[in-house]
Amino acid sequence: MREITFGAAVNEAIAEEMRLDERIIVLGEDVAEAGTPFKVLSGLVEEFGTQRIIDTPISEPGFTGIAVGAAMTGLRPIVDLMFGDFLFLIMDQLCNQAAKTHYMSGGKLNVPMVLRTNMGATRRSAAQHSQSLHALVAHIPGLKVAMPSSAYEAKGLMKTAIRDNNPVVIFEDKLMYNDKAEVPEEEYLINFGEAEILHTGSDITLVATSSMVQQAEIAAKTLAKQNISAEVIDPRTISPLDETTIINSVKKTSHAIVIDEGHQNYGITAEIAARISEKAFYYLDAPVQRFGAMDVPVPFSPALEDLTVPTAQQIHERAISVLEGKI
Amino acid sequence: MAHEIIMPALGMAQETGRLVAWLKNEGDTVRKGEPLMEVETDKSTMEVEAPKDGFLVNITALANTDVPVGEVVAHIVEHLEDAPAKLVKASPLALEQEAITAQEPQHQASNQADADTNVRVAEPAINPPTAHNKAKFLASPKLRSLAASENLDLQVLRNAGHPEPFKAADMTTLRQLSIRPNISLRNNATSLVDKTSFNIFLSEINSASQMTVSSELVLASFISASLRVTTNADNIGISYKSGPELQSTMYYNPDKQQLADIAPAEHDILAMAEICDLTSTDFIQLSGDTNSNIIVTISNFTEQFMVTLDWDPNALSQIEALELLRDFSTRIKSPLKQLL
Repeated sequence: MREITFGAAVNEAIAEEMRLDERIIVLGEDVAEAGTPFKVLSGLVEEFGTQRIIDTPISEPGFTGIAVGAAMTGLRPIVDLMFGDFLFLIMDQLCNQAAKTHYMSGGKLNVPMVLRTNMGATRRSAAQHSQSLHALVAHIPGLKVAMPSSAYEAKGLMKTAIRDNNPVVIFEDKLMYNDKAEVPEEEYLINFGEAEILHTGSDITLVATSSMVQQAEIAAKTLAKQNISAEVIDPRTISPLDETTIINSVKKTSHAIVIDEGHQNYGITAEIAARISEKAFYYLDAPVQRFGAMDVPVPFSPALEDLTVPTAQQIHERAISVLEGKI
Repeated sequence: MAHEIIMPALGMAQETGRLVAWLKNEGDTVRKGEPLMEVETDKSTMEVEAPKDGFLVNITALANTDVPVGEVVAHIVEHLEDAPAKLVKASPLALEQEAITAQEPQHQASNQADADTNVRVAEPAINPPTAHNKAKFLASPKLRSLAASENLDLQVLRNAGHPEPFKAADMTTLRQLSIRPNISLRNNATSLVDKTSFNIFLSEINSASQMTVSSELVLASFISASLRVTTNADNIGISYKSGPELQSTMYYNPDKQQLADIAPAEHDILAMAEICDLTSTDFIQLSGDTNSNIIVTISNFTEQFMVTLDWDPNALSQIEALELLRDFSTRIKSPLKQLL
């Protein structure tokens, strides 16, 4: 099968859907000529024109508000938020308006909007351009949150998001845009709320999101050399969350670590760990471990920044400690 | 299905009972008949027993507090998952401390029993969880459920010095340590009882009445009366083996009849206990193939009766068994009591 990059997969998903449905527009900063700083949208403006690929002024609340209104009145906008860190600027548009309009209008209005943005540290972008803020969004009822971990998932989840009649936020790890993976040429969708078991195992469950999936898979391979069989689960969407797959896995393995690049405090790791403890308590043979990013502003210093994000080696060490009963 | 444990009314016009101590911890495995808690009124102190096998959960009353009669203080459930929503009134730590202080009276009670009737108690090396087992173990939920499903006691691991927390992998060790030795799973206790008074009593009865009253009828009557100490059943049937051939005879409520009128039961009845009377043989002990829950063996030992009580711990707690044996011994030592 052909291999394409994560960025190309996103581009392909948007282009395919735009060809099928002319109500779809893209708007954001530097989306047209520049094709975004990561060149993910390059080529779209040439095919669809500036009427549908719209460069906006530098005003996140402005263009997100426009998109919410456009969605309510018949278009299907894809908002490009250049950095996930800018979510703080559009909290009202996203959480008070987009998330609640369907409910507040008694079901008369829909907001079929996709907000694509990014996350992930270790790009030396310092504290205001390196955050992973998906937990903020997942907390809000009415918003769906997808976290693709590969080019294959990026395309399938983006197409599902575009076809969804409710607001969906997609977090793409900015370090993964050039990672290649096998992506079929024929059309496919990935349903929301369906986790993928990337590596089956029987000794410990590693639930990992986005870029942490790669780290968990490396850790699983290292563990396999020590005859420890780890199961790696990628939830793919954290809202809705495929709880069943995770709980069934933990019932089998009795050990679990949840790995995510958001801050550990009050984060996704805590939510998933709590659900495991609630629903698989009597199957657990060790406390469920949360493994998120360090609870500090992401440092600019490369040496320090690398210490804040979970790595395959640390996951491996943590898994050994859990299995040996040292935690 | 959760079974409610309530504060019982031990006296008339009693409104509250004092919960002296819990003898079991939250989540402990309990067996039917095992003491759960100690309750005190102005007149007496008693142990409330588990009405069925299961797990003790949802303890809502603190030790050393007065609880209204009839109030639910805990539940017994078959599966831990069935525990009803908990109304917490006491912190687990407080309950644990209470449980620790509860150990002592328990020991005193059994020491007293030993002194009273000259009883030697032999128990299988591995016991089912008992009221003496108050320890909190560090163990994973999985190990706990596995151990509970096989009815294994974590105390065995601690006794072996196994490092805590216990984990699922320790089940292998727990199973090995818990393999019961290939001897009886039953408990037994033996008592030596002076029979001088008994013999005088028997000869006086026989000289006074026209009919012959055998020692068998007297002993059957005594044991039947003693069994009432441990049961609420109105009717007591016993199977009595005696003579050189150990012929079996059934008696029905012999203690409720005049000694001279006691006759073998006319219909088949369910025997609550089996009496093995070896006094007309030279044997002092006999291991039978019976599966009766309670077996009392009586034999001659110099000028005394040797009375051995053999019981299934599932049917009778040790305390009940000792009470039964003590009561029976007392009746033999002072037979006139039987008439009162």
